[in-house]
Amino acid sequence: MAAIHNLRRRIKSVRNTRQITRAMKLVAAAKMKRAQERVFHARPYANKLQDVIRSVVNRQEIGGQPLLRTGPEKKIRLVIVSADRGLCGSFNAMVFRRVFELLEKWRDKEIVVDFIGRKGFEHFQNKVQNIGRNYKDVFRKFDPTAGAKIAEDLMESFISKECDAVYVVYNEFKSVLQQNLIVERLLPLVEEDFSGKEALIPHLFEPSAEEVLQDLLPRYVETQIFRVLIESNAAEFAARMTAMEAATKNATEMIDKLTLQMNKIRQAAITTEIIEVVSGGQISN
Amino acid sequence: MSDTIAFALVSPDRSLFDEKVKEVTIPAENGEMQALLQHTPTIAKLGVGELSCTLTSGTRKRVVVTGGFVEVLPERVTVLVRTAELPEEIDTKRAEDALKRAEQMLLHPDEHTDIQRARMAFARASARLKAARHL
Repeated sequence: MAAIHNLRRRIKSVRNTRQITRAMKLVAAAKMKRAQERVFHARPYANKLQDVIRSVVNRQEIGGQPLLRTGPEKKIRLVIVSADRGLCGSFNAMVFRRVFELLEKWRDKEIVVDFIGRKGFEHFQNKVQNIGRNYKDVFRKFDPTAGAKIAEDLMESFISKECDAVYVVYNEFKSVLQQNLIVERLLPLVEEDFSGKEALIPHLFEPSAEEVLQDLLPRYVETQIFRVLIESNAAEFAARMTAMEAATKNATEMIDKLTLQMNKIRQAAITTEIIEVVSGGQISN
Repeated sequence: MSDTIAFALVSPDRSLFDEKVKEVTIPAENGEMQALLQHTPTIAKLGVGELSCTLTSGTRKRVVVTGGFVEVLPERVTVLVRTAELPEEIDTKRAEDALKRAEQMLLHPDEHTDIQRARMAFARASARLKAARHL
């Protein structure tokens, strides 16, 4: 009887867990929907801006813009975008694994690591030597200025030659079922080699090249950071939703298994009892 | 060679236009400019004002923009704005109030008045009203 009692208790506890994972899945799904819309709305702007920048650097030689400075990458700033919370499958683990690979690859370089998202910081705080900034609560409230502060810090670090390049590691929202891990170079802004310039007519700048670029380039960095944040955010909810759905399914399977086991034991107990009664009756006869 | 311009207007949170047009009139920072087919490649900062375009059907569309950039190419115009409003989204009453406020500030400035800001507000409000009246 003790066995049945224990099983019953376990079934109850698994059922409770399933209720929690199911609720978490629903919450993640609702939040993902919002985040996904944000991603889809922001993409055209980011893409068009990128087209314009590309067209600018393709049509003329641009000098004197600190954000376009290129050279050997000796000092690298690595921005790790992870989630603030766990329970989202391999979302964070994928980022961590990739970061380790990168750190290994860049062994001979000076690396400073910035963190966006609590999980990344917790994971790496004792594992990397140079910790830069740790941005907290970025994902809690979202507005277009969310990326501005981060972009400003990164640009300042790059312009003051504190670093030669800025890379960012994040999850891109591919679809509900798929996240792509991306390593992207944020700064310097363009490829080192534009010798393959097409014979295109250079732009006229209004009011002046200087003034336009001074506005356009930082704007681009800001937009890129913002895009990275919302992509990662949407990907996180998608990963959590998938993970929680799997957990709910596993809980259901477990309940079935335990119920079957419990029924078997109960049936065995009943059979034993009947045999006892029958054999007892036979003896008294 | 196509005889229309591919026109796209996007703001950070949405895409407002992505279609073929005959002409675009752009409120650049230094004054209005018009982009027709085969315009020389230009990049300009946008000011505050009404941007309008003529669709291939001949219909004129308007939108109020504040700040951003435009890239004009011979067969393409890309506008990246900070904010954009379609005429039907404009609250005329609010724009009128804002216009009056800005007017007062410019006519009777005291030492707290930020002239630059008041001018911007004035330009924004009058652009809104102008666009809304065309509805």
